[in-house]
Amino acid sequence: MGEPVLDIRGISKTFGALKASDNVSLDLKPGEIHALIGPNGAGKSTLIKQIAGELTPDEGSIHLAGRDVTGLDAVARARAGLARSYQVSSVAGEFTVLQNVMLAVQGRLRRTYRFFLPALSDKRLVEPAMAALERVDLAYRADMRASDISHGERRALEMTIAMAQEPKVFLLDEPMAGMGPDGSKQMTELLDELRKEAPILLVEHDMEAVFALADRISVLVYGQIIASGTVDEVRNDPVVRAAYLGEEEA
Amino acid sequence: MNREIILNAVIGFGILAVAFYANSSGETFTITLATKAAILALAGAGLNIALGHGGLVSLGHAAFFGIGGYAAGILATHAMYYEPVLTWPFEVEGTQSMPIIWLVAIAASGLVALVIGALSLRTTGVFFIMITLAFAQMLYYFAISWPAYGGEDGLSLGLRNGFPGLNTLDPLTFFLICYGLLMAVLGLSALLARSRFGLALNGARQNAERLKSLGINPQRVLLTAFVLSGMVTGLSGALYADLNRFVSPEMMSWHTSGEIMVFVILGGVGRLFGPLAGAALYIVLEHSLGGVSEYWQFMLGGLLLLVVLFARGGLVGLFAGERRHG
Repeated sequence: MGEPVLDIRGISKTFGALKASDNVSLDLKPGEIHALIGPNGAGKSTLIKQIAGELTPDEGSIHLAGRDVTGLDAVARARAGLARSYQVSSVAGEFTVLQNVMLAVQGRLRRTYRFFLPALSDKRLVEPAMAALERVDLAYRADMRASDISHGERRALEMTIAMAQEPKVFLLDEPMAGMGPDGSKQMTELLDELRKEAPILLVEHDMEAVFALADRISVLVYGQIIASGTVDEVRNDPVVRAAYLGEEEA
Repeated sequence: MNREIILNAVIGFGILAVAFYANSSGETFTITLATKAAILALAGAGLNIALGHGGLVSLGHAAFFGIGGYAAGILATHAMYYEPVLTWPFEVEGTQSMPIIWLVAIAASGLVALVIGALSLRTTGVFFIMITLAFAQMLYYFAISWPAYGGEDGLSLGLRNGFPGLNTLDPLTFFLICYGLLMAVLGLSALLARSRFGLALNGARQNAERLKSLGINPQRVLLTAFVLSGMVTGLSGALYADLNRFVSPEMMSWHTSGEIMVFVILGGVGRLFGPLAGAALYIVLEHSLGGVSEYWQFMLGGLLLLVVLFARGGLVGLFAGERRHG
């Protein structure tokens, strides 16, 4: 499957006595969806923050597209090709839906210091942003304030923003969170498409979606990866069943 | 046309009409008040870039106002006494030419804003307010203890500085200079608010973390806005010195910072003509209520309370509805 696009090697992060990440290694190969699952408090959020550059690991390294990004901050990692979505939709509520996506395009084009031309008539921003909105059927909401659209639409906007970044890696934090069955199904279809553009590290609680989408699954418990493999391998792993899946299915 | 544009036109032409009417009826003092409103509105327009778009609650903008004022005062007094401002490492003469003074005021306040901003933007919220306040107070006490330029007594400019081809001693002419600069700055602010930079700046205010994850450094965007903001307020300080023909450390005191913020909040935070509406109202209140009671600021406080509680968009928001971007 080729060289990993995202390669996390032995990262550890300790907060006081709590080992939030304990020698975690993970990789993401071109075209795949690698799901990261685990119970609440397993350290998924801490791991995401370290990958996104919001937290620095105490040990270990993170490589993105062959480049060591361990020392880079969130801005530099975004520029290196990482797009992350947030568990709780994190959009600019005063902006319109379109402006939220335009900002993502602007970040990709790296031309922010333009002071005179109106952004809303800048084709280089508007056209890619509208194209991304059309892919998720959100174009008809383009001129609405992001704070006024529904929860499901905001989740879709969150994904559109990540798509508009045209990243090398998607880091998606519970994209299905709070969505109804229809929304989850649409999101599943979208992610299935998206993996062709860039591999996805998917943190998700919706097991149906994970089993449908994931090429590989890693299970994080108490900061450690306790199992990693294909869907069937992980599903049938007795340790995983005891630590995680069993509880939920019971 | 939307209501905000109509309201802006009313405010903009209104103050212009007041000045012309006062001129034709010989009420020089009223022209001076209109000029003061335009200059203070310019100071507010500066703060509005940082506060209205970037969400940076700076309680230190008096520093830039004062630096602009002292730039005018120092250059003008040196020119008056034919003493160079600097003799080493190279000689710098004073000047009484407004355009040069403006450029010096803008450059000096921009430079100071860069230093203050770079240090203050490491903090947010209340700490940002306190650190900008602290920097301004440092400069205030520095001005008080600097005897070369009048110390606590301030510095008198003598004649008003000149503008090539214009008689700046004519009150209406000086008003039009200030008004023209205000309109030019408001025009540029309107462009800035709609530009890519404006998009990033308003984005940084709403969600700095998101901006980072898009590969845009919010700190740098905010620092740029803070510097532009300081430059505009610095320019207004130079005009204020020329209006009064006097500069004093009082221009840098925290009262002044508070007043500049009051203009913006009264008029409407982030609204293009908010600072002008706020400054004009402030001056009207000062001179109508000020005649009734010397405790007029008590009533101003009450009004400010009402605005903050019931009209968050200030005067402009009250008449033109909620703020929109782009």
